Amino acid sequence: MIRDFTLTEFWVIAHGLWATLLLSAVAFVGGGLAGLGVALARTSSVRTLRWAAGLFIDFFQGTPMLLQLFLVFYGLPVLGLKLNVWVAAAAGLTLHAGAYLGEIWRGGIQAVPGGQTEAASALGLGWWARMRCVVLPQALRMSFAPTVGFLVQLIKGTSLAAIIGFVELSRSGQLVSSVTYKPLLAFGLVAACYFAICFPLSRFSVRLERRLALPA
Amino acid sequence: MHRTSSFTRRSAIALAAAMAFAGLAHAQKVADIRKSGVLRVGAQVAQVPWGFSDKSGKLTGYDIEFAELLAKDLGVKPEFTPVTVANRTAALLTGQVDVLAAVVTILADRQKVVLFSRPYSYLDTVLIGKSSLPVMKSYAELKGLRIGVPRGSVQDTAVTQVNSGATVQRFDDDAAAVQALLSGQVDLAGAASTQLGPIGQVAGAGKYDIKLVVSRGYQGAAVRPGEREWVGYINDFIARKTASGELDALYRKWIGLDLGKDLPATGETAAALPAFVAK
Repeated sequence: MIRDFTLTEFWVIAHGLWATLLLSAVAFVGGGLAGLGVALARTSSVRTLRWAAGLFIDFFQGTPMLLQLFLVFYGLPVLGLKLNVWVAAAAGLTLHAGAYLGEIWRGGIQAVPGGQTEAASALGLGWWARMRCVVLPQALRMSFAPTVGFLVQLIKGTSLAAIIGFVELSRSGQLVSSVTYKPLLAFGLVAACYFAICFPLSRFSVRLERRLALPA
Repeated sequence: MHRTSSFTRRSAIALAAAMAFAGLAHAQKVADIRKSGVLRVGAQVAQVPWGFSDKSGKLTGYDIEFAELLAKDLGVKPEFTPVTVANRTAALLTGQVDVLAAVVTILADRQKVVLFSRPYSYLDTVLIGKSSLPVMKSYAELKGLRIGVPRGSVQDTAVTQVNSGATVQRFDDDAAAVQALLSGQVDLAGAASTQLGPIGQVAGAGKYDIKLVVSRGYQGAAVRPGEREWVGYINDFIARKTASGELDALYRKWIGLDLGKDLPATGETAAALPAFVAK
């Protein structure tokens, strides 16, 4: 009943790799949009917004992602809201990424010299024009390294989605290992896949960072 | 395989309490299942030979075929949701599945959280070691040995409680504990007796055998607490299949042993709890 490690097993792992990539992309894009909103709220002049954003960030940074996914998938049905596995994993990871990216970009926004904001106001730019044309481009460039660092963490963090039944790269390695009894091969392949995704990302980010660097 | 991590236990109890308060009892009438045409089953998919994927990727195994028989008896199609030891209770209590056929050993802690049917299988948890080691008759002979067990399993509890002077190493799951045995990092592995076949396949027949039988546990189908009509149907189904010999044939096909006629007749009492064999 224990099988040999055949092409089927490679396909299972490849399928897990695809699921991980897709989930990471969805979480990063969704989390990016959410994070932008959170960062803008966190630095806004409206006190309630700042407070609400702070609460959101504190909750998602203060609880384990495992628990967040668990709550989204198993807790929401108790309130009557049933989600399927993909939606729940994407939602949980999006909220998580939104909190972390929001905090990273808040730091970036606050690091833009105050003179920039003052000059923009003096030129008659309203809040949104000021943000879009002056503050955010500089803030996001400054936050490039921590943002990519977080993205690499997020890709590895998708392995936690296995708790709600989402079959991604790590879980597919576990499945293969338990039917072939060859854990070194199965998990070695999985590790190689993770490395193949994360390493180029880190290298690419260093290059991009140099290109986008603001003059000192 | 028999892990009850305290996190899942606490969260399962919390969820059960939440559901009681929310009044959200997914009342499961047999008629509802028949009407929906689908029996939603939670099963393990990485546990040979209970639930796993065969070469073509189709789900198969003792638990899977048991659930398929149950679905046929109801006149509906089975729909399998993969669960793990960590999330199977939550999947059942939140209504994701209607029954668990996921190698759920009947333990006292679990009886408080879910409702068990009468046992439909049994499993001996054993200590497996190299054939060159002598067969042990009691825990006292474990002194000085290294034992690998899945964390929170029946073997873990037994070996830890006994305080035999052996070094206990805890691993994440059965496969890891067995792997430690095969690579020589531990002298004995606490595992299910059904692991002996796969070990023989990987390491060569006759190299490893059972050194000590820890306990015999019974597995029952789990349903949400309070669903008496549903569990009554499953109990009746198991009784009929036992009497006709179908269940025994299925067990022999997958596990290679006789199911026997002396399984406890109910999963809800102390009679269904594991019988500890070794002293």
